[in-house]
Amino acid sequence: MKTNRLLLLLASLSLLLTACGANGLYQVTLITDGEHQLTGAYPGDLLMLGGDATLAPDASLQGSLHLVSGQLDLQGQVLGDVTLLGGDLTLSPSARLGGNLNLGGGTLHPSPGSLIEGRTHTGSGIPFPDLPEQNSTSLGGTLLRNLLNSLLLGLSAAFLTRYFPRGIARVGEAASRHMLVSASIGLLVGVVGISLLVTMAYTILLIPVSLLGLFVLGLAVVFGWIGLGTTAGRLIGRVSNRPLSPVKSAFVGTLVFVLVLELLASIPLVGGLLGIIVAAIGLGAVSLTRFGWQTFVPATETGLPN
Amino acid sequence: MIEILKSRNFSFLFGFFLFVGMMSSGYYYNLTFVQLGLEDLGTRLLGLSAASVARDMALLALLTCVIALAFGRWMTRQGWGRQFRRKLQLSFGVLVLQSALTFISAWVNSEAAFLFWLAGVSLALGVGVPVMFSLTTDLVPVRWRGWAAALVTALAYFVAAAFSDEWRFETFRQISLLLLLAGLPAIGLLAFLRHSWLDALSAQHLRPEFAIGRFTRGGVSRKQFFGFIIAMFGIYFVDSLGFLRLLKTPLYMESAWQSPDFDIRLFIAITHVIGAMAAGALYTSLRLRPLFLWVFGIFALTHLQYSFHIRVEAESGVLSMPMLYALAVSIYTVLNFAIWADLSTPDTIPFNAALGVALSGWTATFLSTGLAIAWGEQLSLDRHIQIVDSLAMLFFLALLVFAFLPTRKTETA
Repeated sequence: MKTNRLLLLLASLSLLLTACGANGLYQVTLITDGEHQLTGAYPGDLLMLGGDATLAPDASLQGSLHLVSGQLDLQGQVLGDVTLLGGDLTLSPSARLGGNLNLGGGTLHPSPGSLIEGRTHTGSGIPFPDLPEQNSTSLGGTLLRNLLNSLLLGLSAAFLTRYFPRGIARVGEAASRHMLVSASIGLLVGVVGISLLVTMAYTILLIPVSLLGLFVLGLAVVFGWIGLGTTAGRLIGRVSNRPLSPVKSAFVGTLVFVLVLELLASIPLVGGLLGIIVAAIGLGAVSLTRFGWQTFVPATETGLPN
Repeated sequence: MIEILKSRNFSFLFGFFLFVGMMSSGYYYNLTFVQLGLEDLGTRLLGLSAASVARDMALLALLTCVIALAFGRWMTRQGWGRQFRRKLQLSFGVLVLQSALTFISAWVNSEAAFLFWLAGVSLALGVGVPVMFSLTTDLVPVRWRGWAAALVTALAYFVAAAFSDEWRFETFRQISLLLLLAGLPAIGLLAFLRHSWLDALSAQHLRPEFAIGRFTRGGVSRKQFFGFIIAMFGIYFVDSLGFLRLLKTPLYMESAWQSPDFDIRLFIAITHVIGAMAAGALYTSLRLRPLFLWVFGIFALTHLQYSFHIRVEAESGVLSMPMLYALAVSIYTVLNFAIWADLSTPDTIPFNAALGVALSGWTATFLSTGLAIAWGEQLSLDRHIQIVDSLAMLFFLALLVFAFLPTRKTETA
């Protein structure tokens, strides 16, 4: 029974990640090792992290090319940008670059006949790639999406409170009673954690661990929101003088908390910062309580003279 | 803070901010004029080789260490740890000496004069360390020490990182002189004036909230005390050994600490402030071992990133590396400013602070400078950074191992 509950808990938590769903199809060719001869048309981007490759004269890459390490002999056509961060890139006389050439590192061997239709950027002048724009939705659509997100989180909060009440209470208590400490540790975990996961991804071998780490980090942030939401639920019950059952209180609190958070996040400049602070508090509270398994007691809470 | 304002205890607030002001100014002087300015004076203005200047700087560190230990011991024997006014008078003496040394530095024109002048700087620093650190038990209650250390670190690093685009001796000398000349009359007045606020501050060390350091409540064993010294030594050593090599790599300096772009320097300065304030909050709430683990862990990650960056032969720097570096430096600086007072009582603080700062900070600087000179000629940048990274990982893992060993049930456990 306990195993079933745990599986159900994990499944419901993983549902939360549906909020981060992709909004389009993205294709990429990844080369990590070995020798490769690329011919014909390639949809999407090409990312080279090692090995030795040749883009034949008849080959056409529809997306962008990113060379981090390894050797690439470019004889064909690249419709997007070419970014060189490391390794060796040879532009043969037949090479055709439809976009920009960004040089951040590595060695470039150009040929007189190669054609670059865009501009060449060097060092810190490399522009950030354009992120795919989300489909513009109406105000009603945005509200509906926010409401659905809040409902999903509210239901998760109710579920967690039903089966893991002490853990949620511990997270909520750490986040509300020790906000500054939670925010500080959350900021450290967030900044250092993301840096560590990105560094791990560079090793190729650790990409699965890196992805798992990102999943856990995302889960911790959501768990923190639920902890804060549950605390907000208790507060709502006290203020309105209508004490609710713990499950209902968690549902209502998280629903209201996430809705308010999404509303505030839409305020330019301040909204984003507020979102980061709340995420840091939640993440910190989850870290301090080890995902709600232990109560956080500050080292100096007791025993020091006032 | 609100409670203090409500109780109109202005003498306490004055003392707290006096401590923050004195320590942050002193640390800024040490960061800029001593650590960066002297090297520029030796190499660019006196035309000495980098190896000679590094050797002279290592001698400065060693001499400072000896003077600090001797003077700390002397202060403890004299019972000056309990004499607030005496400490202010000594601070005034240090300021006078530092002002004179900074002023005459423009006329140092040979290596012999440089060495003689460095001996004077060592004397000022060696006396300054036990005197300034021992003011903590007079001015900052135990509960506020993390925050005081955070403010000191944030102020010193913010100004040093944001407004020091040119690491030139002349610029540092000018700013330091301005700072010293502003501080001299103020500290002089406080040292010799009689005022009810100063009388109140003189008696604060008698109150338990000032006198009993956080880690002295369970009784600190000599073994524990030296454990902290070894951990701090490791941090200083790893930081100094890595940074001394990065300092000689224009790519990493010009894309970060010495960037002509003010926004980049401001970013690093703000990272220092955020790191310091976070460390201040964590110091008061966490046990010390997690904080040490954080510092070693961040240093290991930073040097790993530098190592990767060197391998891909990138032509431009990545801001995440100096950002992590600044974060680690801010956390351990906060630890350094708070920990020695929290391991002491007013009677023991002069010698404990001297032991802590001298044996961890100055000895590590002395050894790492010597090693960095030797490795600068023998090892590639990649290899140097890899070794520093391994050292940081070694300390990190050693601390983790110690976490599983049985310890005494004290605050530090």
